[in-house]
Amino acid sequence: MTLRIDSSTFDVPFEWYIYHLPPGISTTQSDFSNLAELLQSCADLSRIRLPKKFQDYEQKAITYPERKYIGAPKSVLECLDVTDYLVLKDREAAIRPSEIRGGPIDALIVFATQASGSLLYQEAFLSTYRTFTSSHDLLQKLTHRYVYMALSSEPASQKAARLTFSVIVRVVDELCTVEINKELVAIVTNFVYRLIRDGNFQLARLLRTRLIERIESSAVVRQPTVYMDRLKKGETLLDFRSATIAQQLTLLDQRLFQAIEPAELLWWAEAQDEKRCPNLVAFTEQFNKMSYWVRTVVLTPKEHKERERYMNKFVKIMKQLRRLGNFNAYLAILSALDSGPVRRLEWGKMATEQLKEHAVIMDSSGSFKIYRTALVETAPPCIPYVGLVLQDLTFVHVGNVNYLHAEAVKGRTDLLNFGKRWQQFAILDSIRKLKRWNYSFTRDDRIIAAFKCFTSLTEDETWELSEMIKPRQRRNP
Amino acid sequence: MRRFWSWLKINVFWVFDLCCPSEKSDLNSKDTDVESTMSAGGKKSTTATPNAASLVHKVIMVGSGGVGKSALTLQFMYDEFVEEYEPTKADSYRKKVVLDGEECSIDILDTAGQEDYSAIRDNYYRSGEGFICVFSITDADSFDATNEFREQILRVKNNDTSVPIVLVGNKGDLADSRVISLAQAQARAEQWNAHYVETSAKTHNNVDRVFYDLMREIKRRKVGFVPSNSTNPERGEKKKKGLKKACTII
Repeated sequence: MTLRIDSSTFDVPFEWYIYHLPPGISTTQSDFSNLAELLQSCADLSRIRLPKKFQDYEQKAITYPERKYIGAPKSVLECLDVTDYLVLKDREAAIRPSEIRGGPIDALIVFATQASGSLLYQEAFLSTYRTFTSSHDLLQKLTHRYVYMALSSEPASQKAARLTFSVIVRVVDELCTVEINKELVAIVTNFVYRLIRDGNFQLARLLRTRLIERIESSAVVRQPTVYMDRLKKGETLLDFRSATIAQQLTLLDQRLFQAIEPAELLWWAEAQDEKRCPNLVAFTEQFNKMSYWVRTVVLTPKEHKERERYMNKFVKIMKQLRRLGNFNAYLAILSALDSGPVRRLEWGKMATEQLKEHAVIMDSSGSFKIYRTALVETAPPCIPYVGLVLQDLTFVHVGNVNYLHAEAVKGRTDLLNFGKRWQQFAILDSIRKLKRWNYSFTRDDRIIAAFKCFTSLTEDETWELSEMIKPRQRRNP
Repeated sequence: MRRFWSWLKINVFWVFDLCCPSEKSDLNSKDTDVESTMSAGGKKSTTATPNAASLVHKVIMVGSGGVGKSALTLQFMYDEFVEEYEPTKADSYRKKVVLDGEECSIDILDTAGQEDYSAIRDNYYRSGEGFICVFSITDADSFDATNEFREQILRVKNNDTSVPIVLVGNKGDLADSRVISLAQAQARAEQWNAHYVETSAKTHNNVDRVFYDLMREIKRRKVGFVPSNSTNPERGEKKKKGLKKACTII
């Protein structure tokens, strides 16, 4: 059942977040299933409408509005409506989210707080703002806007303040572990004090609670301890059913997958900075570990018969993983069974044929069309192969300019290319959706103990082992 | 249980889809290319694909993260200005080119971003006919890593040292922060019996050269292995090759 977006879907009042969104949940319930369609129209850059107004000076980060003489020019952050600053698709109809093509950073920030904006734009903004500003700076600007808007008792201004507040709550809710530092906490707590001073106890308490919850829940996810003694003596992987093994592998993967923050994916595509992406790194490590572990388990037995038994077992487990929609573990095992050291040895007809059948999923032609189709056709819950997500985000990052080309926008160089952000959002949104699903298996420590913490040989060692089993034939050039 | 059946249905369709003729034409042409490199006899390749336009050269970009691989790929794929680049589109990494007067296609596999998924590399490399091994002249670690990448390629290719590889030092525009000297890089290329080219994805310097050089070498290997069938242009190509060992300084 697909949910199409019509205007009634995205005009959810922003206040909704404050009262209806459980704390710590960084997702909305809306499903942008026709996102691709919306983005289509965005790709066509032939006709754009240029801003009617331009920002005159570089906006400095101001914590609170200064006292200004009456009639002083307002900054963009203090405008009720910033639509005129934005680059839109050239159409006179009412603004639709995909029509935002770009604009100065501050205008894009304010537009995310405007009722005339849309939920879809707001989502795209909140998912991607880290590519052009930091959470720290964003919070500084949003609190500035709130305080300014709250000063006036006019209904329009009051409404703007409320909407801004709800965005602040969203930003705080979705802060990443690496972003939570002294300076950032200071901005939020100062703002909380300000709210208290103004008598807004309810809002103050709400924001404070959310911040504390965020700080407490932001520890990096580690796999729980494995109790090796649960395994009976002499018990091995072969003693368990392939389906249950696949379920346990999937449970382990799910924990790590759900811990990945969308921002980590963006940061990785930009700079591959391991420190900023701890959960992503842990998930990738698990993929490699599992793959090398499978090679080790298959190659280690001295007897050919025993090796064959493990080979066949893993083929079965792999098939179960595919059935469960766990593409991460599926590809990890497939890459192991299809790796140089393993595939060069002789295996039974069954294993060889099935392996060949499954290996097409890694075919890279048509930009990994086979894999992409398989993923789309798999009903959730499923765990995607995140490597390809990182590749897509890397290419979106490198292949699209950050700022609109000056020649297209009257020589301005400060207009951010929001088309790039729409693309990033489309990718992140698909991950966000998959993260919401849960597998309903129960953890079985006995089976997990049989994984032996995925202890494995190095790549070189597996090659050595493989060449010991079957010496390499010398090539005659 | 129900889920299982729906899954089965999807899978059956999926497999069916693969076998359906409309899809197959593309896969087919690729298969024959791979075969032609595999079978050293190679007679089949010249008879099966007389039309050079259907010839696809499969190139794989390797190198550490952050050396500008993806920028090189994009520069080559879209030399003119692209407004909006969508990597998920099916034709994103294939381009028709004219190589020495003959039409052919290049298929580039650039898994930039996936570098840390080291376990899956083997599987990607296997389909490659030629490799572009990139490092940044401003990053010594990335230069060190090139040896490992080459080793891995050779291992997958059954230690066939004649696999076409081009060593590429990128970020030539950042000469001020250079840490890998031209001589160092040249020495390594010589050791590998490969070419060394310095590029700048930023200024588009030498980018096309890298890809065309490699394609020529791949083509020579594909077609040139047939002694009786080799055509004249191919021989001329071989002569040229000898001269091209020299490196390019930007």
